[in-house]
Amino acid sequence: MIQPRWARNWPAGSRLSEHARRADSGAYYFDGRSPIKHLVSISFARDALTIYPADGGEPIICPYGLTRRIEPFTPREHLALRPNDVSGARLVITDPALIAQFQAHAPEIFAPPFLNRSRILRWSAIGATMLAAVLVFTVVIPAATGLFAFLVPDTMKRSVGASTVKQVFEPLGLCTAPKGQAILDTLTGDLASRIGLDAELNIHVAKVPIVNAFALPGRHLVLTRKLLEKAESSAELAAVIAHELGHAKLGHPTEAYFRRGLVSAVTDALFGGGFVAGGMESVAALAITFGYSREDETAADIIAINALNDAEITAQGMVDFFSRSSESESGLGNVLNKLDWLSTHPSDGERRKRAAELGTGRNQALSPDAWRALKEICG
Amino acid sequence: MPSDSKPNDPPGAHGADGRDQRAPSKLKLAHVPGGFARLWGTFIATVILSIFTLTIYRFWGLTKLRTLLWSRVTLLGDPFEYTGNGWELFVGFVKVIFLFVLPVTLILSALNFAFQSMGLFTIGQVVGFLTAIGFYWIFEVAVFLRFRYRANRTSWRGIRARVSGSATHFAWRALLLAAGVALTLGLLYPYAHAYFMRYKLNALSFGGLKVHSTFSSRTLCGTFILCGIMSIVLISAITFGLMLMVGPMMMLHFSGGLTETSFSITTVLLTLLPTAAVLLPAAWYWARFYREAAKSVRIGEQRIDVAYDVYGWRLARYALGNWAIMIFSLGLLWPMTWLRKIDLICECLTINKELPIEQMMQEAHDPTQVGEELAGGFEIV
Repeated sequence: MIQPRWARNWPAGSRLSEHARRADSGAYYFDGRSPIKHLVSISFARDALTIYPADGGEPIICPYGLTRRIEPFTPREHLALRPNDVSGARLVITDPALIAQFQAHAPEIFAPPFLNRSRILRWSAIGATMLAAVLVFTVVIPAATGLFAFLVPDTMKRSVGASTVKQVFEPLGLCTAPKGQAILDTLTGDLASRIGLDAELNIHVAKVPIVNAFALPGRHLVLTRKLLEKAESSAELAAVIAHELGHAKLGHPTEAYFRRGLVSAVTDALFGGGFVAGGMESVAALAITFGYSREDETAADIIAINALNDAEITAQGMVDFFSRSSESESGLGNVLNKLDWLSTHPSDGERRKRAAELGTGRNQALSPDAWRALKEICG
Repeated sequence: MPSDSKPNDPPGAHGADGRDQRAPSKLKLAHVPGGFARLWGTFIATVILSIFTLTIYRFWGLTKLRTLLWSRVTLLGDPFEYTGNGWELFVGFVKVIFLFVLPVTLILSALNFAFQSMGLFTIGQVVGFLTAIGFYWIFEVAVFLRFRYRANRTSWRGIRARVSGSATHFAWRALLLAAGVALTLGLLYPYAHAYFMRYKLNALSFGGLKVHSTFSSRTLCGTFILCGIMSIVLISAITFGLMLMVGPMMMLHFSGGLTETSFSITTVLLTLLPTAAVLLPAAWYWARFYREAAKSVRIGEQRIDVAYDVYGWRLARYALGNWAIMIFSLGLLWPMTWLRKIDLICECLTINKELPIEQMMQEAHDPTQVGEELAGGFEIV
């Protein structure tokens, strides 16, 4: 039998059992190599217990510091231990008196300190991962998507925008009345030059029955026919175009392209799949994407108001448009408007207030005749 | 020396020399009753802590839940143990996110963007299709690794189970069979189903006793077709019935005869009916599947055979019960469904010959870590 360091100062020839009360029953042992159940007796010393196999095998010394409790264990009134940290070895004490003795010798195994090493490590890892996740969402993803948008050549962005128009909007139909298109191109070009977007850009009106406008990569803008129908003045339309130009100026469409994939991948990995986590992942991905989107919208609004001011076009168009769209929101849209964190845009009230405060222009964007001609772009 | 025999020890489990004697000729797993309160408390704590930690606590919570559940099942009076730990799952997660998810997403986004910009829509679509196939392959690899991890972290009397076999081989077969099932409009499903079960069973060993299975789909095809026809008939009948009820219900609702709440509850219940209709015939197929799979098994050189005596109605009651528990408790009593699953397994599974305990040996530790995360399942049992 190998004596542990703590037992080396004992008198020569002494055995552990001579220094501790030896128990003769009430425990069994699995050696971690086979499932054979060995009846054992055990004895307790100050720093270790010793297992004596009933079949006469070598006694096994198990320092308390290297003994782990297996919990939960069935039946609950028995005490299961993993001696010497050997993964498969199990000592099960069934005798309540022996359990009490063991508890007296190694109370820390029954009541480990609240802040033990394993718990501290676990919560440090959880905290670090949460911090990393926050950093990924607030710093890494915006920086990475910004870098991608910067690195992608302009010709590539133009091609992606053009192919999206071709694939998505052309099949639905584009409004191409020459007079209306010319007016729209002039208005857009004028606003673009005030924003500092001098490169080639394209604006289309798509026959889509919803009120919306899109800025695509490579300075392709798309307005829906429904939006054109709902706009009550050329200033309102100019506000929408200026807003989309703001997105184009800031490179949001290309950033959003990469961001969607990244956010989805990170939330998917973070939350995992499955019944509950899958649902949480979807909500989180939406909330995070919408969070970025709200920041983008605010930045685009500010650029739009500055462009409108420069062109002396009234920002009242923006106020009116948002007021009307806010009133027409019902059901889910209205609820989402109230749940700020789950909305793609800043609240309409906030946007109206900003436009009213910062807007200085007084004029409409187009003459009444030009506005009428533009409204007839879809025939 | 007094014997340490416990009341639930079978007679003759070990003799006066302290060594095991022959186990009884027929063995059943026992589900120790009780323990629901602790399980439920752990479940609720896991949910709450997961919410506050962006779900990262789930690795440890899941481990605690499995540890509790495994400990409730005993064989020859000794409990099973789940020896996995949260760290292993967490490390698997970190590996997956940095070595797989982020790089693959970036590369795919860049490729998509490039193809779109070059106007190569068809190539883009082909790449998209190949990517989906690649993900399916990886998912199947993970399914096998998850099975391997759970088996290796399950121990009884200190000895583990082990899964050999190749995860990639399994995934290639899964891919081929998925294509086969799609091309034959589902008719190949029983073959694929039996193949995967056979593959997993043949890869499994416990305490050095290798599991052999000759499971074939021959006995499943008839049941599968019959259950499929029954499902179609039942769903059609229920959908037709619902369509007949929708009109009068709407009229009653709009005339004020049905309150908003009653209308909503009735609508939800009626919508859930078709789900129940699918569950019922499926239960007969699954029961047959499990029975035949168990019948095909021989364990070790002693060719120990097992039986899984579950029948359609028992499985249907189990599935409908779980379904009702989940719906009506809004998922809060989810742990009850795990206990019901363990109950079912313990009730139905019989090992028909004595276990050669003296010949059983410890299996090697398997360092697999990433399966759980990649498969995205995180089922408890």
